[in-house]
Amino acid sequence: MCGTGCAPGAPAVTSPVMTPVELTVLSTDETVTVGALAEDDRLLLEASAVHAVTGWEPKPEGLCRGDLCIPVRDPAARDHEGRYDLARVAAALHRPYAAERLDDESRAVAAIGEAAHERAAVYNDGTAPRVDLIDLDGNPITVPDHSRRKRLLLAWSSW
Amino acid sequence: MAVALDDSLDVIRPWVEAADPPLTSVRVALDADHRLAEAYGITNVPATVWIDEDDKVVKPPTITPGNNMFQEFTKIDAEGHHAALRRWVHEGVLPELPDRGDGTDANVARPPTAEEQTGRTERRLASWLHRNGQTEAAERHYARAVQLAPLDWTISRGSMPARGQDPFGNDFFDLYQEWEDAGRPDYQAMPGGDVPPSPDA
Repeated sequence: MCGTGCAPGAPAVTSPVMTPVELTVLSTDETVTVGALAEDDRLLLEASAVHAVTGWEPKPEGLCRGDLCIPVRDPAARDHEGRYDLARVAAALHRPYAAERLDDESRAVAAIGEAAHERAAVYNDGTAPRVDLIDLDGNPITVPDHSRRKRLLLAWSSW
Repeated sequence: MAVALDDSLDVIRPWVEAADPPLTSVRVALDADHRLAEAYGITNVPATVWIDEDDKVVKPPTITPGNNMFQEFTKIDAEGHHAALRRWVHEGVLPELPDRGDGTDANVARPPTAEEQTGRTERRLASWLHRNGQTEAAERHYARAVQLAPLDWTISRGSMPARGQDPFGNDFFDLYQEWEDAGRPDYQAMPGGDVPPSPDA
């Protein structure tokens, strides 16, 4: 089919190709895998998936966490089916964003970082953040632990 | 707790096994996504953070060489930290940290710029891509990360092994020169031991 003013031999208007993908999202706290739709460079998520990967819940007022809601003014943030463009959700939250499709077209990965002011607020707050890592046996370990002692955290590397 | 900012357990295991004396009472963890590094504002290694009994960060990251083997490059007397640590543990006294000279509070981690936060995000993605066999895409994101935050060594030097560069060779010497020319930022030492030369010297 084509739009108005069709000329003989005009190309048909085709719908963009939407591919279901398994999307791995690397946030600053954790790695979460959700289903999404990939359309060209866009990753489109249902509201529940946006909530799962960002911690912010889409509501009519915007993206909400507790009592705080951030309005999403970008008209391109949602598609005609109401799905959310993850890059534009990250932009509405003022967070850095980067994403890639994998060689296996059924998979994609995105990293959503923390805004500079959010990160600074954590430093200024002074409370030691707890982070889930893995130990030498590959088992989960939380750093720092809950020991209520003086603790020394050493960061090192092979490089 | 000794947290390694490396890509895999296979990379760090030989280092842990070679430690002398053995790390019997130290919990070792891998931070391949640099989440702990970011949470505490660590941009270079080796660095220590002190956490008290009430889960408060009482000392932000400072550079803490174990000994003075590389003092020519670090310009830090390792004993400064170790003496201050003993005072904190035994007497509960916290050190006075030197002013950074940039208007930020020396007692908390330096607030990052937007570029540095984007650089961390790009590096996190690049590392995941590298670990999952997407080498070409990983390289693009590593390059972007280094462009955004070239003086964060956890990004620029930390990505060298994955990118096929030598973190102890010419690529590192170039980074070191760039960082020296920029005034050796984010390389906070502890006062004490031999007094380190001032940044302006």
